[in-house]
Amino acid sequence: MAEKIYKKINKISFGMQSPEFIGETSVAKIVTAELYEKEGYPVDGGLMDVHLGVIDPGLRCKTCGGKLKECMGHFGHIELARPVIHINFATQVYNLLRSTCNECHRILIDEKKLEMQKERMEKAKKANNSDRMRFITKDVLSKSRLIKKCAYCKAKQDAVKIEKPTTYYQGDKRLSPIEVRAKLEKINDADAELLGFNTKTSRPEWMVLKVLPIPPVTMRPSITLESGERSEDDLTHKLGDIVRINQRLFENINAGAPEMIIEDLWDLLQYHITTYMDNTVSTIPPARHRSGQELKTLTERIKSKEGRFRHNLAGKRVNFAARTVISPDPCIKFNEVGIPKSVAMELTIPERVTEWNKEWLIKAVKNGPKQYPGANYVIWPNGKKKKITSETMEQIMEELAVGFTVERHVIDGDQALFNRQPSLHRMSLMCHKVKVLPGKSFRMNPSVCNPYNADFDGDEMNLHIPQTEEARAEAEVLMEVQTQIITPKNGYNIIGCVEDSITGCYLLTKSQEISKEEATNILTSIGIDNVKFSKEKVTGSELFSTLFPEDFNFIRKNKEGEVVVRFKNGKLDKGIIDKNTIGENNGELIREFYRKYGQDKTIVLMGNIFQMGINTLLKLGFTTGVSDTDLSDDVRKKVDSMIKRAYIKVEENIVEYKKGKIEALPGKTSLETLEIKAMEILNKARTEIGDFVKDFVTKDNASIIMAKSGAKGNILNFTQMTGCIGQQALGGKRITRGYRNRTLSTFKENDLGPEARGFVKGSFKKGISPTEFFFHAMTGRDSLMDNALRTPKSGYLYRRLANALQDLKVEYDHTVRNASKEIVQFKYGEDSIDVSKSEGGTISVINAIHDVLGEKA
Amino acid sequence: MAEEKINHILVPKHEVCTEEEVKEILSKYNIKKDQLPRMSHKDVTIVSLDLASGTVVKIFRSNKTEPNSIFYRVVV
Repeated sequence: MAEKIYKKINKISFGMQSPEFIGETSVAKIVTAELYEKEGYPVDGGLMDVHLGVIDPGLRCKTCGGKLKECMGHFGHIELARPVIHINFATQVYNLLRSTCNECHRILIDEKKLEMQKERMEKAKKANNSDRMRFITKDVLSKSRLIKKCAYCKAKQDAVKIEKPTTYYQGDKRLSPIEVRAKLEKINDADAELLGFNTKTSRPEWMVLKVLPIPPVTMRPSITLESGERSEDDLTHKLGDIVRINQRLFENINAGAPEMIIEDLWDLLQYHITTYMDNTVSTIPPARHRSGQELKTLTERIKSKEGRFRHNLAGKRVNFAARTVISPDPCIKFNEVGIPKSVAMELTIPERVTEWNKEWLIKAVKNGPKQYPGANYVIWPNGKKKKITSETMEQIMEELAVGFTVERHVIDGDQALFNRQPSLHRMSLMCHKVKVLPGKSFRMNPSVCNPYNADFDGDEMNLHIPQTEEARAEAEVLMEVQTQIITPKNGYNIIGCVEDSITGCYLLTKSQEISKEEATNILTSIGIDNVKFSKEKVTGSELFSTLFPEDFNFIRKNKEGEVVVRFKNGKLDKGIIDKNTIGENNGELIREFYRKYGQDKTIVLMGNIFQMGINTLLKLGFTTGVSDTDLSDDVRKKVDSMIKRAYIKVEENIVEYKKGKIEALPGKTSLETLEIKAMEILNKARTEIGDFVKDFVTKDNASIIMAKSGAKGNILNFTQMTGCIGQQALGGKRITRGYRNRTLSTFKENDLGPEARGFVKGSFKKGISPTEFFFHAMTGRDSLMDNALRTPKSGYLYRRLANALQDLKVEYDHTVRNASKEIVQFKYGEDSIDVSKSEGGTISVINAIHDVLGEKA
Repeated sequence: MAEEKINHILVPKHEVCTEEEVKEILSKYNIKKDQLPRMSHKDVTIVSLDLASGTVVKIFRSNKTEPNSIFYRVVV
């Protein structure tokens, strides 16, 4: 269907509809609550009147002649027997009644002040300052509200009260909507403007309804149930109620029924119209279906999470997507994603039948939707689409020819977009190659957890299958995993080797010497089978070097400038591989390789290193357990004596403090000085214990190896397990809270010693005393709460920041500008450094020179 | 306090641009004045200068990677 644009919108104004306008735009006056005649044809003058638009295919609109989907529908109207307050304007009506005179209907402030306010309003209007206009209106309302005597006609004012939702009282007398409307009518235009009305588009009295517009049937279509019965929309139900009561009211008035009956019916009409507008008004019971379910009327259609905005406009849904739990699989490549077979049989890719793929597509169609690899739909060249079932199979197979399109199941090697929420940066949505696997979860290489910020404690992820050739090409070129190795945040590699692979490479390159056979075995398990070793024994470094091209040179120095790792002509001739070489975020070797050989070779190399690491570890055997934290009696004794020494030192300081001899640090009291000193001594003691302990455990202690290689954990974790947990701190200080002058009732008052202030001398292995346990729980709870409260806060903070800055862009002249080309920065980051091409935000000139000249530092 | 000029190591030097300079800046970046970053005339760093709305102020900022960074802001 060709889309026609008749007019371009350049302005929208909101206002109220006048009764005249409603009448003019109406195509049908609704007079009966009946919907259909006996033959099932809509009643003329009923709520489903054919003038109001079409909802049945094949019919034409009686007003415009359009067919279904061409005709948008037309408004009708009903004339109300008695006026009714519009619920959404109840407060405004109340404000107007309070602020205007009961007799002459002028604003209740005196002429002088009124003139002044009018001038202010005029000024604000000229400046087009709607905030200011709103403020003035509020000011006028609040000032006129409490005046007891009209300045113009000197009439005494009875207080106007509202009984929610729509009943007004003046003094003790109830005001009927007719009276309310009469009062509002008499407010003159100039006064109304001051009270916040644009009288050209909205008059106060329009807030009391005389005529009710009936929305077109297209926005309240009825559904035909399987039984052939018609089920009407909630709005139609509600409108039926309104029309019914309105007719009864008419009849009763004409028949001269008693005032009581008329008023009752009038209130009922008010109730129905109120719930038609808003069925969640707190003071009245919501209208319900016969089943007891609340009706969804106008306001509920728009409002809140299931409303039009958040559900239909802001939230879009797509096809060809899947979501399930993720789990790790170190055996698949970095840029692959494992997809359950059941998912692969739902997700399809449209493929055009050609001479070249005919054979295999026919096979897929033959397999059908229930056998993998099959196909679910076939599309004829003329656009007709048919599902493959056992019934349609025969016909499809007969007709299938070149030019048809087959929606076949995804197969290994297809592109898929893989995503985990929250999608905070571009690495949250990357393109992976499909690998169909048994099972029910998505499988991913643990190395790509970092960019997604995923773990496997129950995380779920989404997967999308691009449907066009262009989309697939774009996904592969712009978003495939290897294009995202370097993060634009600081130029470091966000993808690298993790955990076991680091441990494996560390052990391999440390001092391993393995036999030729074993080395070949490891290489074969990675998929490399063209390396020959001449010697009988192969060192780990030699084996590791086989992964690199022969012209690869690399040097890593530590902070002191000493060479830590060196590659010369593709051979690792110095150093041990660890997290700083191949790990995520700071794997220097990975970045160096990326710069020289590009993304595709890097992802292959990383995969090989990863596999070599875990295969080595598999061969060597690696396990960590409680025995890692065993200490000999001698070492234990030494640790105890170290703790004791620290205690004595603290005690000495306490004695000095009590004598008043302690020298206070600048800006600190002597007590604060003591606390700082005590913390210092005790923390130092723990570090010393850690250093001491780690030298006395066995060489092949798994915990130490993991900490040293950077695979997992650090020396502090190890110290806490074996030696001593150490000082517990709340807010950077030793624990002081609890009872009066003491932390726990086991201690004497004013005990400043280490154990009374939260020092835990036990280890996780040895166990800790009840008081120590309590202190440890205190800090544990503190950090737990801190974390739980901080995480959502910082997440929201980041979200707002990202939304505020999303239109910023670096222009060709290096200025940073927003969408309206306003300058935000004159030079990107004030230094014009592209951080995605830097290392941690700076660019090393020396390295660049060495690169160009080919010199070795 | 308003009279006192802020003199602190953390407050960069603010300088009023001449008309020619302003013209040059605007043509250099091909913008109108209202596309420059704004600053309040009540901003403590320039309140003592008592600048009219529309004056362009040149600010000499320096940071770790760029010691001679220059910034412009228009007074509102």
